[in-house]
Amino acid sequence: MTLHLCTGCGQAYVTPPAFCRCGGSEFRAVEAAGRGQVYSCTILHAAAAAHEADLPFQIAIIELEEGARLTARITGPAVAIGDAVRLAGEREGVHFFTAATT
Amino acid sequence: MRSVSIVGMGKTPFGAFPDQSILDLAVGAGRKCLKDSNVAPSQVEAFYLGNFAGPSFVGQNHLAPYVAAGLGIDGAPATRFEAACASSGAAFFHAWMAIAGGMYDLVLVAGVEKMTSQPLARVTEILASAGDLGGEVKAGATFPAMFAMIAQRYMHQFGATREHLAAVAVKNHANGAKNPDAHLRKTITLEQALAGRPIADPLTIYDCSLVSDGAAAVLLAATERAGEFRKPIRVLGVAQASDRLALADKEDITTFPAVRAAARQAYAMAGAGPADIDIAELHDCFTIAEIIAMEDLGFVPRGEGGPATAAGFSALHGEKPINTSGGLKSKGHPVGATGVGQLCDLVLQLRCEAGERQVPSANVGLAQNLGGSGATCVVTILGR
Repeated sequence: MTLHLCTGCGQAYVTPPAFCRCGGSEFRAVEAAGRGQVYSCTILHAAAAAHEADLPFQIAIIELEEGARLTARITGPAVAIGDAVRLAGEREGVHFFTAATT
Repeated sequence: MRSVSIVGMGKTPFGAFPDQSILDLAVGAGRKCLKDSNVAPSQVEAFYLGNFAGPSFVGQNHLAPYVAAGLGIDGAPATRFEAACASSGAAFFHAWMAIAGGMYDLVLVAGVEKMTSQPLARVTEILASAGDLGGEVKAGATFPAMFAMIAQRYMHQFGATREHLAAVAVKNHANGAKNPDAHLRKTITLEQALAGRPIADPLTIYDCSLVSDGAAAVLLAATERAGEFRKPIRVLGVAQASDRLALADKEDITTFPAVRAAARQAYAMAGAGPADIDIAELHDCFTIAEIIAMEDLGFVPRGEGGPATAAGFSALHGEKPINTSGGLKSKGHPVGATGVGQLCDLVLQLRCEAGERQVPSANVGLAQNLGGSGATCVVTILGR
């Protein structure tokens, strides 16, 4: 997956903002392996109309090794906080992660 | 900066009212407020309306002049404020500024939401639009899911339990049962709360606030004119703050920087601190949100909100009664009406008109109104 690093402070972003938290506004695109760990997660039993067909499903805030965080879907077995995960794919702008051991 | 007082209040009951339109609700609350303050619509110099998603829920846009006309407020500027669940808190903050800054003497602030005419999955979708549509919402996050992730992380860091979350629901239902205007007037047991239908783990249906219709209004006046009114209540401090919208963009999701910033400013303006607050209406959109708010407002140290609630600290006759109205959990959460609704409930307490749920020595009250997963917060401190 592509990450965007601030040329000023090195902060990594999944989507580059207009300005980095340090005030910098230049970003360098780098390819990342998509490895990280679960910062938090939940299994949904109710969803918005567009996602109801997928229930139940798990989402998680993933902290990538590069430091950037994103909200992603989990595929495969359920994960818990602290679990190592890896990118399993991307569909329509949504990142899917799975337990790193699978 | 001039001192400002609340000189009138009015609210509809919160609940599901299929026969009442958004206009009926807003005008109903506004009329009650004007009657309470004995003010004619022609005396109102400006109208500020908090509403989150009228255009999505009922299709009506340009809501502020629509409601102002319904109230007979002719020609005065009428403006809608949208800040998710803090919409009417934001409207109140800006109305306060207009009087404090000397622009007006008399301003009406209302909040309204008409939610129950849409099916639940659509309501969930409309509410989720207050999150980051390009990231978390696209991945399937709902507001219950975002607060579930906040709860998971909080429990992981501080060792809080599901019993701590459930204690908030049990307390707020007990209070709401005493409030004639509450949406759900029933007590629940800890066992019921723990066995509720799962929504987003660890949250059950009993950890989530209600989908409600309702409206609330307050009339603000320059304190130098407050003598013209019955039982004016002083605005001792008020502040609004913002934070990043997406949960994944926050460094620590177990605390809300916007709450801490707004509280710091409101306390400084009031010349008060957490220990000076007798009662509080906190934004319990989910049980975990009340626990974190207790900590961010300085009522208890970090990590102790859950145990303090379970020990009765925030109960109706506890050390610091929180959500004596029943809160969003039991009183109901018509999103755009919630901020001003909290202020109405504080005014009732400070006027000693809160009936069965009256706290005997309530002199200073605090309201905390949160938008989204913490991107907006308004903190208001009132005193008699």
